[in-house]
Amino acid sequence: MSLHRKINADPPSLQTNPFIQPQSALLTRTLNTSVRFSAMALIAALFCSSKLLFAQAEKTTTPIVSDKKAFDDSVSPFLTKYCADCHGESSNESGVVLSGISFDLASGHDIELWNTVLRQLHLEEMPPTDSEQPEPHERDAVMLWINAELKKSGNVSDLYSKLESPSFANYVNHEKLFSGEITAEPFSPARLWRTSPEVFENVKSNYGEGARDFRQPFPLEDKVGIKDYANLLFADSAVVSVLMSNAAVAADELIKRSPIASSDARPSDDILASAISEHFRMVVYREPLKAEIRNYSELFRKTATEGGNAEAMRLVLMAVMLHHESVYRVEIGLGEEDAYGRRMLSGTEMAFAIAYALTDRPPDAALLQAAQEGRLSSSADAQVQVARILKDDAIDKPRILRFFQEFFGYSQAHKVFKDEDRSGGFAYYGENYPAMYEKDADFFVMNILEKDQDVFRQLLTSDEYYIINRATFRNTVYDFYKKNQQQLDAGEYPEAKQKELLQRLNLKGWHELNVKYNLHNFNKGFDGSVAAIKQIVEEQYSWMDTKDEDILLHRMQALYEKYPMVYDLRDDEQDFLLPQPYKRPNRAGMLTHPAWLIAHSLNDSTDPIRRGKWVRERLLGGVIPDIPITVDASIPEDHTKTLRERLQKTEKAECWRCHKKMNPLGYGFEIYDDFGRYRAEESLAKGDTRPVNARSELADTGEQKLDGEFKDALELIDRLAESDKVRQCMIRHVFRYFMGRNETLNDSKTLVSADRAYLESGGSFKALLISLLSSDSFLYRKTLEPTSR
Amino acid sequence: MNPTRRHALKNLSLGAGSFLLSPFLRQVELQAAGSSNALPNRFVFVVKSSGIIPDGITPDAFKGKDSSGSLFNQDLTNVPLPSSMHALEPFKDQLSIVQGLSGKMCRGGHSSWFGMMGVYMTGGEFDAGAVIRATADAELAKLNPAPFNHLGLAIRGKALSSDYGGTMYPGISAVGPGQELPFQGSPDIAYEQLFGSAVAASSGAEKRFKLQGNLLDFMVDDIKKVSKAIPSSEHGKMNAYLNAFEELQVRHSKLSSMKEQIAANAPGYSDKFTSTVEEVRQEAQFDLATAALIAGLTNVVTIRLDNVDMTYKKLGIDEHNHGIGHNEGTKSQTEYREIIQQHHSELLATMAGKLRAVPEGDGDMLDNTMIIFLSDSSDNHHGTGMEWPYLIVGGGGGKLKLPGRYLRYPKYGEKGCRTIGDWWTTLLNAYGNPIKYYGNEDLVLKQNGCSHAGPLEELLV
Repeated sequence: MSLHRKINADPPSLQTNPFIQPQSALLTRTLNTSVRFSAMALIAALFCSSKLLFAQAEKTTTPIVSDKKAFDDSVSPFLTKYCADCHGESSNESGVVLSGISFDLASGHDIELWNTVLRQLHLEEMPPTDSEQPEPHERDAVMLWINAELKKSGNVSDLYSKLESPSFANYVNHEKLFSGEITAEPFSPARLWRTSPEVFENVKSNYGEGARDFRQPFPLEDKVGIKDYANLLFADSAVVSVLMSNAAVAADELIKRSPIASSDARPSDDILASAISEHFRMVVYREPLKAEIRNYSELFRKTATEGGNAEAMRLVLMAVMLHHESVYRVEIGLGEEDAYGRRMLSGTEMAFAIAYALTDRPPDAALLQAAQEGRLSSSADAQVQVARILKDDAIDKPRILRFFQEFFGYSQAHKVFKDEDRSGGFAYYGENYPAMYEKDADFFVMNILEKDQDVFRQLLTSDEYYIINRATFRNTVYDFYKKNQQQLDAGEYPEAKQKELLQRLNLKGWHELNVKYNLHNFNKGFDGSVAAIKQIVEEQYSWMDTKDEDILLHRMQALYEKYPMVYDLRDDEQDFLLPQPYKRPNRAGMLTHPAWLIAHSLNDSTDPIRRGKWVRERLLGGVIPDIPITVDASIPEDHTKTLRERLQKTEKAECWRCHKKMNPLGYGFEIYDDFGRYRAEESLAKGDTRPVNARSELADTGEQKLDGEFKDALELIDRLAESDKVRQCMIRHVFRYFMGRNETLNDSKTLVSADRAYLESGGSFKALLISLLSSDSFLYRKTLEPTSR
Repeated sequence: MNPTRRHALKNLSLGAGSFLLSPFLRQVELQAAGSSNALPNRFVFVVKSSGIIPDGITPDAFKGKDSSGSLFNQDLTNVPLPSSMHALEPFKDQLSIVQGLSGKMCRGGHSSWFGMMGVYMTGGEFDAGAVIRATADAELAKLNPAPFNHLGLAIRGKALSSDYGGTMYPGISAVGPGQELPFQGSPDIAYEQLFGSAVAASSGAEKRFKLQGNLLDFMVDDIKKVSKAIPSSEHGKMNAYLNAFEELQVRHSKLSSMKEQIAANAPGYSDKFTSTVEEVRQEAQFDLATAALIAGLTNVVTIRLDNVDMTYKKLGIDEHNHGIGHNEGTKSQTEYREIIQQHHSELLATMAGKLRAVPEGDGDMLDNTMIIFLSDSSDNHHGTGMEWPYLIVGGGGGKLKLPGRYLRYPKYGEKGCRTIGDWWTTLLNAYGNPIKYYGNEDLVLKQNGCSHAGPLEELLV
C-alpha cells in the first residue's frame, strides 16, 4: 500500500524540490529492488495522471525558471552517454537528433522532442536492448526532470493518459504480475463509468412511450479490441445533443398523461414531489434525495410562472432524464474504509456492478433484495450472486460472448470488403457473408462455453465448427417438419417435440433465436409453432423452386451456395443441417476460423502483419509501438512475388526492430487465403501460383518451451495452447474487460487467484468469472487523492 | 450583403461565450467587415431516391457523343437543357452536370445508404448498416461551422420505409463513426427549431425556446453542485458533461442575440408547414433550408428529397417510385421520371433564385453556394454503381472549375475512368480538407491498373 502513497505523493513535490536525485533514490528504495522501473512508473502514471492535469490547472502563474543545473548535471550527460551515438547530428537515426536539444523546456522549447525522449525512456524502448542500459535511477532522474520542466511550461505529457488505454496495458510486466511476490491489496479507483450502449437499449423503455423514437446516445467507437473502458468514455456534447432530443421526445409523451400538466392549477408540494419521485425512480433507479426534489420543484415553480404547468412539467421530466447518474454509473465505494484506505462497494453499488458486468441490465430483484438485506457485503456474498446468475439459463448474459468477440476481434469481419469476382462467387451483393461467418464464430465460442472445460485451450484448438446461415436454418426446420409431418399436420405437437426442435437448433428457448441466428427480418418472429414451421416450409418450396426432396433438404439456396467454401467445402458435400458441429481438417480453433481470418485480412490479400500483431499482443503479452509517422507503410506491388516475399521490405533494420515481433508469427497463417480458405498455393496475377511458405519461428516470448521453429499456424497454435503465459495473457484480457481498465501490478493478487481458480476448476470460464467478480479489484474502491475527501 | 444581415452579424459577434464558437464567429466578423475571401462556403445536398438516369439529365447536344477513353468536358451554357430541366435555364451559367464517375465500392440496389457520400459498402435491403466514417457532407459541415452545424431535413426516411415526420434517420448521412445525422421530417417542427427563437411559428414555440434556457441553467447549476461530491480524479468526466450544457447555453443565447436576423429571414408561417401532401412538404423543407442559409443559421443542409415508397400524387402520378422503377403504372418509366424531374428542377430553381436575390461580397449568395443534386442509388432504380450522376447549381465560391460545364468521365474500366471517391476528395480538398483520398478504393480498378484515388485535378482551381 505504502507503495502507492509514496508514488502518489511524488508529483506535487516536483514543484518544490527540483533536485531530483534523492527523489529517485527514495522511489527505488520504496519498492522491492527487483521491480522494474517501467512497471513502477506505469502505476505511478496511472494513478497520478489525472491529478497532475488538475493540479496543473490550479497553479497560479509564477515566473518560469528552467532547472538548468539539473540538466547540466544529469540530463545532458545521460543523453551524451546513451543516445548520442545514434541520435547525433550526423547519425540522426529515425530522424531524431538530440545533440542540440534545448535545456529550456520550461519555456516551451523542443516540447515534441522531449516528449519523445520521455516516452522512449518510460516504455524502455530506448536505448535498444542490445546497447548499454542506463541504471534505473539515471533513467528516473531524466524522466523526473522532463516532467517537472514540462509542467513549468504549462504542458503535460499525453503519455500518461495513453497508458490508461487498452493498447498500453501490456507494458505491465507479465512475469512480475503472476510471480505471487506482490502482496499489495488490490482495488479499482473510485470512478464514474459511462452507461454502455447495450444497457441504454435495455432500459430505455422506462422512459415511456417516447422511447420508440430514441437514438443511441452512447455509441462506442467501433474499433478493434476491448471498447468499454471507464477511463476513456465521456458524456460530451455529442452525447448530450442526443440525450436532449431523447428527453424532449419522451417528455412530450409523458406530459400527455400527466395530471399536473393538464391542470391549470399549481400542484401542491406533495403532489409535485410524488410525480417527480415516480419518474426519478424509473430512470435513476433510486429514491430522489430531499434536496433533489427541492431543486426540481423549484425548476417547476419558476417555469410554471413563466409558461404554465405543461411546459414546466416537461422541463422537469427532461431534467430528471438528464440526471448525471443515468449517464454515468457512480462507483465510489460507499462502504467503510479498511486498513489499506480502501472502501468496499455498498450493497447497492455491488448489485449494479455485478448486474452490469454480466447482463447489460440493472440488477434483478434477487440482487436488489440481497443488497437490501445486507447480503452483499463481502467477497463471499458476491460469489453467491455471480454463481447464481451464471447458473440461471433464464438470465441473458450477453456480456460474456461479447468479451470473446472483442478479444478475438472476429466480429470485425463484416467490415473487410471482399469482392465477389476475385473469390469465385463469394456473394456479397445484398447479403453480407462475413457478417454470417461472425455468427458461426459465435456458435463456435458458445459451444465451448457450454461445456465449460479447458475453455482457453479449446478456443485455440477445437476443430468443431458450425456452418450456419439462413438456408441452414430453413433446411433444418423443413427437415423437422418432414420427419414429423403427420403429427404436425394433425395438430399434434407435444412439448417433447417442441423441445426437440429447440435442441436441434441449439437453443434453450426461442428468446435466443435472434441472438444466435442471423435471420431475415421476416423470420425473426419464428416461435416454433406449427404455423411458423409451415410458413418456413412454404418459403422453402417457393425459394428453392422445386419439390425435389433431396434439393430441399440438402442444398443451400442459390444465394448461399458458396457460403461453405471458406470451410473448404462445396455446397453439395454436406447437408448443413443442424445439429452440428462439423469437424474440419486443417483447422485449429478460433485463429483458423474464417471469421477471424477475414477480420484480420486486407481487402485483397492476407495480412501477416496484423495476424502476427494479434498473436504477439493478445496471446504473448508483447508490446508493439505505434507505427512511426515517417514510415511508408505500403507493400510494394509485384505480381511475380508472393506476399511474404514482398514483405521483405519490412526486414530492413529500422523496420525489423518492430516487425520481427509480428511478421514471423503472421507468416504461419499464410496457409489460408484472405477468404479464410486453406491453401497450399498462393495465386499470383495471370493465373500463376507459387507454393505457400508458412514455415517460421517464434522468438522472444519469455517462455523457453514456446520459442522455436514451426511448420505453419497449426503447429504454432498447438504450442501456444500449451503455454502458461498464453493462458495468463487471456486472463489479463478478461480482467480488463470486466474491470473496465488496465491491470496494474497492484492487481497481482487478483490475477494470481483468478488463474488458480481457472486451473483448479479444469479450465472453467465460469470459475474464472466468479473469482474475478468477487476479487478485491472488483469490489474495492479507493479515492486516489487522499486530500480531496 | 443586406444591411439587416450585416447589422445582426455585428451584434452577434459581440455576444456572450464567443470563445466556444470562435471559427464561426471569426468568419462572420470578417464577413461583416466586408472581406470577400472570408465569405462562407455553403452546401445543399439534395438526395433523391430511385436513381438518376444519366441520359435524363444529358442535353440532347451531348447525347451519344462518346468520349472514348478521355474526359468529355464541354461548355454547357450554349446548349439547351432537357425540357424537364427547363426551370434551370436561367441558372445555366452556374449549372454543372458531372457524369461517368463510378461507385462500385458502394452497395447497389435500392439504396447505397451511407455509401453514396461515405464511399463504402454497407447495409442490406432494409437496414442502413454500419456507419464507419463521417459522410462527405458532414465533413464539409465541420469546415463551415454555424449555429446549426449540419441541418438535416427529410421528406421521407429510409429507402423502402413508409415512415415520415418527426426525427428521422434515413441512413444517408453521418457525422462520425456510429453517429447518424438526425433529420427533421416535420417541417413545422423544423420551423420551430430553426426560427422559433425569433418567430412565433405556432403558439408556444417562442415561449418554449425561452423556457429551454431554464432547463439549461438548471443542468449547469446541478452538475456544478454534484461535482463537488465526485472524486476529483473523475472531474474530467463531469466537466465534459457540464461543458456540453454550457455550449447549449451559448447557442441558446446566440440565437437570442440573432433574433432580428432570424426574424427578418424566417419564411412566413402557413399551413404549408403542416401539409401532408408530399410535394408541399418538399416545398416547405426547401423554403426552410433556403431561409436558414440566408439567416446564417447554417451553412450545410442535407435534404432527403423522397424515397422509393413515396408517390407524387399532386403531380398526377398514380404509382409510387418503387412501381415506377419496376415499369408499372399507366405511363412509361421515362415519362414518369420526366414529370418528377420537372418538379425537382423547379424546387432547385426556386432555391437558387432566392439565393441569387441576396447580395453578398461582390456578387450574391448563389455564387458562394453549391446545391448538389444526387441519388442514393446511383444510376438507376436498382443502382449499379457504374456511374453516379451529379447536377450542381451554384458558384461554389469559385473554388472549382465547374459552373457552366458539362463533364463526362470515361466509362468504368476504361482508361482515365474515375470514381465518386475521387469526386468527394475533390470537394473536400477544394474547401479545406487536405485528405489524400476520401473513402474506400475500388479494388477491381486498382488491380486492373486503373490508378484512381485522388482528387479530380481538372476540377481544381
